[in-house]
Amino acid sequence: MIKLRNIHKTYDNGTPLHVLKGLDLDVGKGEMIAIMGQSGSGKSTLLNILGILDNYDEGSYMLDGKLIKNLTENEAAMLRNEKMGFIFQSFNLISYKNAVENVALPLYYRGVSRRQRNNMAMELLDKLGLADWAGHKPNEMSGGQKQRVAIARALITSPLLILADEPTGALDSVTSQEVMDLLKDVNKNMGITIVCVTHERSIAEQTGRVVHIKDGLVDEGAY
Amino acid sequence: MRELLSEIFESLKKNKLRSFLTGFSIAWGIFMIVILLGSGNGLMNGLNSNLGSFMQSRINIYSYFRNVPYEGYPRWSSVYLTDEDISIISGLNGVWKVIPSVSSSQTIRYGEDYESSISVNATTEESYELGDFTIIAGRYINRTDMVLKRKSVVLDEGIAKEITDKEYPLGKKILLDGVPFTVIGIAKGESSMSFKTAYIPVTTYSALFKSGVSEYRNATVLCEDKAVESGMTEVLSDEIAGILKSRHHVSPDDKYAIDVFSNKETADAFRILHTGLNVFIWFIGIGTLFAGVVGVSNIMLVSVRERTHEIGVRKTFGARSGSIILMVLSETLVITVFSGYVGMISGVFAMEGVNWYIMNRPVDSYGGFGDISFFKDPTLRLPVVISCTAALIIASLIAGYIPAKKAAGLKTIDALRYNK
Repeated sequence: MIKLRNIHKTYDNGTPLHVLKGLDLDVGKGEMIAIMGQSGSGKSTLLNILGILDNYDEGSYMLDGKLIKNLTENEAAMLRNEKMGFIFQSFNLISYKNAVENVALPLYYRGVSRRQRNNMAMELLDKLGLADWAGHKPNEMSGGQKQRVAIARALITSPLLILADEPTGALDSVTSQEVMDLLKDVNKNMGITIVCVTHERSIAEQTGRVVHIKDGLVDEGAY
Repeated sequence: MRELLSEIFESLKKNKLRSFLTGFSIAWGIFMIVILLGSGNGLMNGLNSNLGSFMQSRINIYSYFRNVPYEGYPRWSSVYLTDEDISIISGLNGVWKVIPSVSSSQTIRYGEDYESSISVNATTEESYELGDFTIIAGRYINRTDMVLKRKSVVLDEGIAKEITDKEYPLGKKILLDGVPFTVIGIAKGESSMSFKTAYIPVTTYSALFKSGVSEYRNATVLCEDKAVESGMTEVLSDEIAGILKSRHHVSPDDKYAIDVFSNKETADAFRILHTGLNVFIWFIGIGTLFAGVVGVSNIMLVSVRERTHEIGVRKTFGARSGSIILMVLSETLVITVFSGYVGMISGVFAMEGVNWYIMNRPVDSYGGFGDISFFKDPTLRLPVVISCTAALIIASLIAGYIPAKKAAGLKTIDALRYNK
């Protein structure tokens, strides 16, 4: 599903910062993995490259058999919409849209009609136990509810891959577990590959595999 | 479309004061354009109206005083047109008629109570064909009045209403410089130049006030259609001026003693003035609108910056540059077009209000009749409204383009990281 070979990434804001130094990583279809590492190890950079939110300087990235390299912003956007879903620590819901509208957003950019995408969004919200909150705006919801809306948004396009950046980072332990249960359920029953960046070991251990990043490389010795 | 509009209104609602102030600058710009254009129209319509029936077949002759001594005639010596001059000019190729006249200021008295100073225009029965007024009661001077040198007078409506506020004083006697005249008709002028004017036969005037001598200050030449169509009027003007200057010992360089000009020259001059005025007005109007556009563009840049993170989220979930540009341009279009229409409608209403006032204001001052003034019909024509609409749409697209491009050009990852 995902093949990263010799990935290099350097940030140059005056002083070059070589973040990823020839990283290799394989993720199989239907796997659920966690990426862990200390602050500055390159895990967020790795996630951004996997999500085609950022380019890499050297190496190759194969996603579902297609080489992902030097895509334009529009090409990357289309591919993300087609194949991926995203979950963020800070939820990243649009504040003036209600739950249904937020969930339906990816379908809007696919050209799906308003009625159809709203129906699909309602179905998903219902499955996640948020039907009563469909018309509410994000500022009217709890953290757990917002993250479930975000998960619904990530699922609405039936993606091959979900990328979650600290999905439980802003939640309490009880809510965190609810969210993890949901992600595990999605992985198991829908077969969606999930890559989750986290700094919490208790969260990481609930995935199928933990990948440690250290100094811009996969740390094979750390499990 | 519904979703796009909903998003736009949500965005506008988030910053109501800012949206209002932004729209106000555009509304004001369009309002000013409408007021300026309407006022320009009003001014030109008023000027055209005051010039009366601006027939291009007319050549106007005015005689004054010699400004240059010539052939023994001193400076400031008077020049008058004579019957022989009229006859010679009438015989020129391209001339249809020549209508002499002389104007003077005289005192009119009616009864015990009414006395005023008015302009008396002594002319022929053919002067009616100039179209400077219409007879609304009674009749105009006729050939018999001319031949018999009758003391007949046609009064302008303004004078008639001042004399009596009841019925028109037809058949009544008035005194002009102490001489009794009978009112035979009431005229309504097409311009303010016929305001407070009375018309009497020029033969009567010569007999009563010039000891029988036929001398004229003015004459109006009506040209034949073929002369007008072939553009001969200016050549004819020069020919007439040459003949008269020669006959009256006026220096060819003396531009004041005998002044001959065709209405076509004046019409051309007014056309140039009108064009120049319109260009000036559009320049000022477009400048005002441009200031508004810059304001909108500036605000949209602020709006894009505020929505940077949101743009990042949208791009993450599939928004391409085109949809981001559409989002920003649509918001700009809504603000600009809506505000512009408010400005345009306000301006049109304001000009209609001014027009209503002009048409209905009371008759209480010189030049103050409802439809005779220097400012007439200050309204906009449909092509102008369409031009303003087009200007609005172009302005909004210009205003939104730079912010839209900026928004579309944001890198997704940078936008996602942007802190509000």
